[in-house]
Amino acid sequence: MIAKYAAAHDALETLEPAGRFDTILVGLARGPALLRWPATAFARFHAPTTVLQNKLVVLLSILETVPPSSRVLNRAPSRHAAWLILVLGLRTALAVTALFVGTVFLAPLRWVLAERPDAT
Amino acid sequence: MSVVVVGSGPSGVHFALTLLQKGIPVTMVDGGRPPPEPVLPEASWEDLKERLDDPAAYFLGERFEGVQLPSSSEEYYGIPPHKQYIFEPPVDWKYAATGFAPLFSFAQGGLAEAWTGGCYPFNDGELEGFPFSYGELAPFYEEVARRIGLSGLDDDLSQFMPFQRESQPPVETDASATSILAAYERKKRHLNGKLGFYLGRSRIATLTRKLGEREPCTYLGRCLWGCPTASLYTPSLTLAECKAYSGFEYRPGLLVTHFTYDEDRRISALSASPIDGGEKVELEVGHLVLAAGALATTKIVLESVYGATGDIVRLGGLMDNRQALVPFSNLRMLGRSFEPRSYQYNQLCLGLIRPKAADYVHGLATTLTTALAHPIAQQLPFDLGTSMYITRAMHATLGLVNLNFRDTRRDENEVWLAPRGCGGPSTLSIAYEPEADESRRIDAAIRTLRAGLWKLGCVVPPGMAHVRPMGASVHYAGTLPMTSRDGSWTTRPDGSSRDFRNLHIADGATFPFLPAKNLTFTLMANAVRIARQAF
Repeated sequence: MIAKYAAAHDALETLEPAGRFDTILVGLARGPALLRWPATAFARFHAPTTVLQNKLVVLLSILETVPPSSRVLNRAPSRHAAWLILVLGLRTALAVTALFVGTVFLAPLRWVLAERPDAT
Repeated sequence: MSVVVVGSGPSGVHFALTLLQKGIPVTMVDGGRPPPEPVLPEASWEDLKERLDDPAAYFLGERFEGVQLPSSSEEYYGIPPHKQYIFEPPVDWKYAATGFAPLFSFAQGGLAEAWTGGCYPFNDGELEGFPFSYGELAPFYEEVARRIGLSGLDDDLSQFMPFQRESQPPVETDASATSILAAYERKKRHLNGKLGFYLGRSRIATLTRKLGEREPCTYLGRCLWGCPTASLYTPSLTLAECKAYSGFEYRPGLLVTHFTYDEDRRISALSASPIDGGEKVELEVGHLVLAAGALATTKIVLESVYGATGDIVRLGGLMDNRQALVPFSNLRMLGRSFEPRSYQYNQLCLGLIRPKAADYVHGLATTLTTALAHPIAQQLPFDLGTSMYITRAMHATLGLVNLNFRDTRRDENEVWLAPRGCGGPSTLSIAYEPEADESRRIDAAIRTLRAGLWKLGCVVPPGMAHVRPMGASVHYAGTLPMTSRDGSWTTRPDGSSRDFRNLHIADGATFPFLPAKNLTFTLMANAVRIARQAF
């Protein structure tokens, strides 16, 4: 799995950070959940074509095609519709919170770094 | 008589087979890129992931070309890596398009090697602008149904598309499609009367019973990845039939550039370049049949005229079906795991009646369970972890309706040739503009679809309908229309050219109208009709 992910980096140019903000975003996503979640939520919503989002999509594409992760991803998380709806609601609420936190901290940072010509 | 057919797509192979059956020898000149051998043909979609040494390479490609990156601005077709050979262009192929995103194929069997098998005959209303009626075309539809193997059901949709007697029973439906059909039966009075919404089984070129050497569908779930058992018809199968005739000569690996003709406008020779580069070849021609697909056929004609006279002809009337993709969620399936061992293309089909009869909208519903999930997950407005959780939870509920809209010939939608510079290849130029009321028609149809699906217990998520660029449906037509009236750059009802003495055109270039349906079945039937009547 790791070898495949590394091979993707050799094959796809769009997985290399193009500036300092990209590097910071990727660094945050490597951290604990409290940093990772706001960074990935920010990437999806405010910078959907950024390197971090590309990396995450490549990782997901490998996970969904290679066992054993493919078996997990091909299964519904629960057979109980009511439980699923509850968890979906909670996860969505957390995702919105993560996006809010990510926007508050990362949007100004991106603006500051974009102001410096050598930074992006 | 020496008949040279250009192209091995649905029109070319059925034209050739009909002539061969009549005892007329045929030479077929073709790009002819061959398909790769099917991988583990007995394995299901799930088995492939478990049994292949490198499943990521199979599903995503050696260079990860099958990954749909968010930074990509290109239309996503979901074509798997091992089907990319279908679209690989020759070295000398150039085009430039405005308002149109064309696809071309130089593979054995042409673009229909990547089709979804939909076979929807045109009805009398849709053939109104053609120089023949449904009754005249019906025997050829039946003939093609016999040849390729058609499955479907005589149901509510037969009022929009006549049913072929030769059809086999329809493919099995999965749990999602079964529940939608059951809901439709309960609510069809409202759906038909108030919304003009009709639902039925798809008509597809997939076997549910043995046909000759071909086995029926075994529901491996690999339709999207290339049917490994040939139960889904592709033109390569008819090409293989042609090859069994001693009078058939197949010349693959060639891109036909133009033909030469004398003062009497009689074609004498065909020029072709090897698709991967090399010395040009010339072939003698007794009678030429162009069946290379509407745009490639048009380019050959334009290039020939330019080569002989220096004239740049502009041909109007290019058509294609606009398509809108509308995802939906069948809420009855929530909490279930999806069924990968099911038919993966269209199990259901729908028709929407519009205020003007000619504006009928045709829809194909796919369950898409074995498609890659990452292109879907990345479109949800959440971080990718949450999006993938939602995709997993909703996977069994997901479906996609592909709405097709009709097109008409309009002079401003032109195809012409930009002359070659310094002896290089010419560029095929295309300009397309949609009708002024197109977006209104699309919005209205999506609203009707959303209301109909809601009645059936399905939800269309807001903001996720996608109108595809013109050219994406690959139903190109209209540049050299069939008509009973005399006129240059037209063809007679028997497919013969009015501009050249010994030329027939057997592909979509001759269609004077493009209904909201996949045209491939009609291409095949029309090619058989022309071959029967003109030779």
